[in-house]
Amino acid sequence: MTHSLTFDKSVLDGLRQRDNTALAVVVDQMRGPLTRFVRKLLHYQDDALADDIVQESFIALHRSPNVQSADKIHSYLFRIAANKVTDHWRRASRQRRLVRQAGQRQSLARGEDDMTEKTLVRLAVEQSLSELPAKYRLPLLLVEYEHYAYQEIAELLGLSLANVKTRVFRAREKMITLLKQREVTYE
Amino acid sequence: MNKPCAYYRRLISRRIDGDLSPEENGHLQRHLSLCASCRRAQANYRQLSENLQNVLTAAQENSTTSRKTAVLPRRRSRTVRRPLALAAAAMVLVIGGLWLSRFLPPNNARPNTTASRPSAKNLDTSAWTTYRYYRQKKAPSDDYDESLLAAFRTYQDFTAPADANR
Repeated sequence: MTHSLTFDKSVLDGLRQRDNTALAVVVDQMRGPLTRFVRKLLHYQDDALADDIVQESFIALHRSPNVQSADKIHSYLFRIAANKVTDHWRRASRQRRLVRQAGQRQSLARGEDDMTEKTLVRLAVEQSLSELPAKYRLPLLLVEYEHYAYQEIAELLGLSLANVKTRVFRAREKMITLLKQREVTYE
Repeated sequence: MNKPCAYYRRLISRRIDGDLSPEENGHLQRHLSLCASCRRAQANYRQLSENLQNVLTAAQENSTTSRKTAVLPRRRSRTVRRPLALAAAAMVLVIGGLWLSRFLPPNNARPNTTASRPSAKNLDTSAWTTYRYYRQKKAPSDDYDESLLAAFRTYQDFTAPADANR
């Protein structure tokens, strides 16, 4: 996937001078794509949080517009948003684990064994994803959900190309291990 | 040159993402024809991709469904909403009119003349209220007005010592 969102140099100059009009131009163009991006990474489970992350990303851009050139504004924003999603995953990982364990106990207590095989696999994938370290999860979701090229992910996350390839590969390996532990059938 | 399976598994991962050169693709294909373990790994990676897409699709569907159920039942049909809106507008007009009518002058009130109007500082509240009442209802002339004011000043003088003792 390639981004077609570009800005004039005047917009970048305006951002550097803390000009609200320049920020408004960026917000107008970027709010939609950025919101879709964050909501998808969060599996549409918390749209309010996604909107907060988008807003915080714009605030971060306004406070420190450390962008080299105008054509990097969009990737800079996506990077800020991706980092904020990663922060959220890290913060929530322990809490989510506890909630999930409680949920599993309740499910077992209620005897919820009438779920379809497909639903069980989906739950197992979601749980495994939440256990996957954020540094692997984000590159994996970017290739699987957004179909980004490795080079784009490297630019987005500020990583080397080789590092991105390694992270995606390890993410897949770890996911399969986690799913096998949850008795999802793999060969 | 023989390379370990770990090398080819990285290639499998990259092939799923469309990142292999034709040359690397050829190497991998030859290895897969010989290695059952790597063929299984390739099948697993593909299944994982499919599973992840299913999760995303289900999340999108749940999101759309929850929005529909959250919003749609609260909306009434247009045929029901229009009469309700008209009734509400009529109610607002009636209540607003009643409230505004409190501020309208009585029918027989004279327009206020500010020349002889006393300052509120000079009269206590009850005297001022009474003065306004007589001014609006009964004052036939400015002379009468002046005499009324004088009467109230007297009334004030009369009540002042009692107020001071309270």
